[in-house]
Amino acid sequence: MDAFSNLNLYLPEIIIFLGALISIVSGAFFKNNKYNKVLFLSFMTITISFSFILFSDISNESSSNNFVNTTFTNIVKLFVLTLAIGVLYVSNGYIKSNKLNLFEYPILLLFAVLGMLLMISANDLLFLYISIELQSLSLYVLVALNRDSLKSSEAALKYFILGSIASAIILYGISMTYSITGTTNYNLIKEFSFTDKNTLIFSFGLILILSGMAFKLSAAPFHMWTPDVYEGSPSSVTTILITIPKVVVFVALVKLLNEPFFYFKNLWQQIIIIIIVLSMAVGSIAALRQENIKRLFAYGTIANIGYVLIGVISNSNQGLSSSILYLVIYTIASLGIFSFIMMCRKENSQVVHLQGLVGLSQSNSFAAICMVMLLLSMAGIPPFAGFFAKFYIFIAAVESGFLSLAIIGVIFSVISAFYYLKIIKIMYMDSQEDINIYEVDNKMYLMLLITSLVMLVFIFFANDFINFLNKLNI
Amino acid sequence: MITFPLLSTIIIVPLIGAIIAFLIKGDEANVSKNLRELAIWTSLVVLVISIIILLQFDLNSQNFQFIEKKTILSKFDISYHLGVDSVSLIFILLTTTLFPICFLYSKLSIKFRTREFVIAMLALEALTLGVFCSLDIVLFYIFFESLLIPMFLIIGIWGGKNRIFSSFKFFLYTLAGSVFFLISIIFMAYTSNTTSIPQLDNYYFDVYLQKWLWFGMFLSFAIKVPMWPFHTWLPDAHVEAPTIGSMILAGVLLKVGAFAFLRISLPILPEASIYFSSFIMTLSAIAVVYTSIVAFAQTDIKKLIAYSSVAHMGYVTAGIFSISKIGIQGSLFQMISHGIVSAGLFLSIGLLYERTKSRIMDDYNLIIKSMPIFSLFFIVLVLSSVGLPGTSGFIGELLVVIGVFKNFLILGFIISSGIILGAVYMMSLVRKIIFTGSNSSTVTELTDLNVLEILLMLFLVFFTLLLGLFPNIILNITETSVIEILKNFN
Repeated sequence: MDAFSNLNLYLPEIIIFLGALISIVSGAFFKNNKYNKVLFLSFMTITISFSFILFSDISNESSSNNFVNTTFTNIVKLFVLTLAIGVLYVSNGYIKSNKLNLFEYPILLLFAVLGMLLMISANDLLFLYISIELQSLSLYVLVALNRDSLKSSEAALKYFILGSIASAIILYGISMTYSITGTTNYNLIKEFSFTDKNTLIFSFGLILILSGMAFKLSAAPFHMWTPDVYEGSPSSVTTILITIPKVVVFVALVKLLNEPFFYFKNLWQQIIIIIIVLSMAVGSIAALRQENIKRLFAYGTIANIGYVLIGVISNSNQGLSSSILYLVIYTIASLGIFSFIMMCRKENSQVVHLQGLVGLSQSNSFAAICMVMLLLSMAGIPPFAGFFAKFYIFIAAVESGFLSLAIIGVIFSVISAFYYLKIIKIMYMDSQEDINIYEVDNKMYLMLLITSLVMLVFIFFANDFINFLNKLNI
Repeated sequence: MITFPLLSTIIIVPLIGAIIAFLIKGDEANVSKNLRELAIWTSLVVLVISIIILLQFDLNSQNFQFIEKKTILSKFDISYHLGVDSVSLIFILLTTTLFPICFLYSKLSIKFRTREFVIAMLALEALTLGVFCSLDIVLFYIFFESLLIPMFLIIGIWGGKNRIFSSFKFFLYTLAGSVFFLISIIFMAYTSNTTSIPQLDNYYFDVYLQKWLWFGMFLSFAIKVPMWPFHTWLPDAHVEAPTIGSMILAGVLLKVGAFAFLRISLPILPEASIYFSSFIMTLSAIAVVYTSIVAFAQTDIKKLIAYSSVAHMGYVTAGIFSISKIGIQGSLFQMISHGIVSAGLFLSIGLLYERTKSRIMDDYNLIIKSMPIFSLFFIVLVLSSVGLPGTSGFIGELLVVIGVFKNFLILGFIISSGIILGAVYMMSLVRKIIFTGSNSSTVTELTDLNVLEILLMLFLVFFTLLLGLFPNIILNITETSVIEILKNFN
């Protein structure tokens, strides 16, 4: 009996795992059109796993020693799977037109998703480490997908070496914690630290783990890899990197801070505040001078992660739900923007530089209008969704007594508005000699339309959505 | 009693117009013709509805009327809360009157991207009306801030040579101010646990807190007004914006900041307002004198008018922060008057620019010979702008100066000297381009106004004279609300 109930606990993950294995085998045996068939299998796998979570009781809270399912984790898993489907869907055209249609792409994504799902539920430091590694290793390979490209290989190598160091640091931190507490289980560590707080080595463990997690989140000062990797990897992989792992690692981080390290709030609060300010500063200022679209958004991500983390320091349910709100809106907007970047081609090559977007408003007014909405939302201008995200983050900051963080936050949000405006300027105001013809496909249009509509109509559903988040016991 | 939501209607109608504009299809010439008619009709419908609101408005009531309320966010009970008092009512009427005039004029000027232009203008109208109607401070902020988007696009796409720089300056400058406003709002909501303006009016904030809140908002409003020394975006934006953009910017958008002072700073933070009133008064005095001198040095006509706008807004802020009934009445009057007169002046320059493609004074001479009708209208508008008795400009400036003299004697002298300085640069403008001139330019080729242009100018000039001769039209409407605004001051 016990074995079965445990199996139930992991079932969505097991489905993904089996799906990935079947995809590998069939990928090896299919004669032709491998990519499409494997892609179909992956879609099926994700959908089955998705519907399993959805139709089994979402509010079912079950746990084993190292694995906990709550309503919140289930919903995050649903969101991650949705994003994965979305990415696979929009990247299809990009993959084909850039001749990257290797059947390994969906399979690697499946493995990454597997790692992510495990990470969301992890309740044990070692379990967390293994799931981070599973996710990261898949992503390293994905970055190198375009193996003939020097930049892609370079990015992958950079990502691999730095990422491995970060993982090693996490592992080192875990070992330190273990050396004091004698356990890696979250609940036991929490109990232990309640009775025995002032341990230097324990604090070291926390700091090391935090640094490693900050690296995975690409928060400053551990952000150095982000622009290079985002620029070098194929855009479809950048889309993955910029959206899904951020959500997952953030959720894992929140859990880490609230469970095992709950009684070290004073320590990690200070560290997170430094990370927040640095991320906002580095992200906003460095993005100003970027000419490459993907590098620009890489810095944008760093800045956004700074805002997301503001909700964490309050350590209240409300603060965390505003962080989640921000993260959700940010990922949706990023997905829209990157689906556009992926499909933005002219004269048979990908548009890489901002200047390549000149005249978009005339050749492709629909895409341009959608982009304007997405960018303004990113900049936090009302009435778009991004404004509400920032609004709630600042409320969280004020309510937890960090008014100064809110003020620093708004100053950097003005600075970052500049580069979002710069893109709008290039699309709408710069004059061009000849009207560029962009090759775009319907999938991108659909994704652009959906995401920008979400940004536009969020104001009507904001209340319900935020109440829903507040009710979740994050 | 369930009534028809008139206020929502005036906000939604332009938005519906914008959506229809997005959907119009067909060949190029047809589309732009249809778009213009759509814009004209939409704005006329809004005008009619606003007149209905005026007719149903109860002038003797102190309360907000036509109230609509629907919760947007349950946190702090942030809601879609609309309502008007007589102060917002006159601004709504100003807005709904100026927009049809602009659209009628745009029949003659916008030559490319008509679709985007019409959408931006209609969105602008909706958002401006939203600002004037909102009774929830977060809703106010949403409208206040969204205004930036269409204005940014209007300056940036249809502006002149330096348009991109101007639009960025405008956007970032105002955004920088607004975010501090946002922080103030959050802190206010956090302290008082409400965001409804009528409730905040009755909530007492600690004096120390009031000062900080006031200052956070001040930056945002002062930039929007704009007050010296935050005015530098305005001349840039005006010079580069298309004529219609300038008309709306000067006619309506400049009033938004001053309106925010009246709606939020004064009633909610009375003690801080008194504390800072001499500070504002000093800035206003500097604005009046300094920008008048700067205006005198301009060679670009549009820039001259832009600087004169800053000077006029100096009167407005001085009147508001004299914190007396007569001063506030005066500044309200001044705003309405300035809305009409500056729109008229920018329209005049637009008409000249269309004929010669030049905004430089030296390129014009003896306009009176080639364009007598135009010259007549232009001179009336200029006289009103300098405050000649009998025109609307006079009443506003007079009331403001009386209000200021009550509390601030020396500053009162400085501010009233602006009336003379204003006359200096405006009259020399008239002399240079209308009555005299070098013999280098292309005077004889200028054609006088056509019928539509005459009608537009006549309309504006008529209102200037009407308000100048019968100022009570506005003063009676606003009186109760001004008393209501001042109720927190002993």
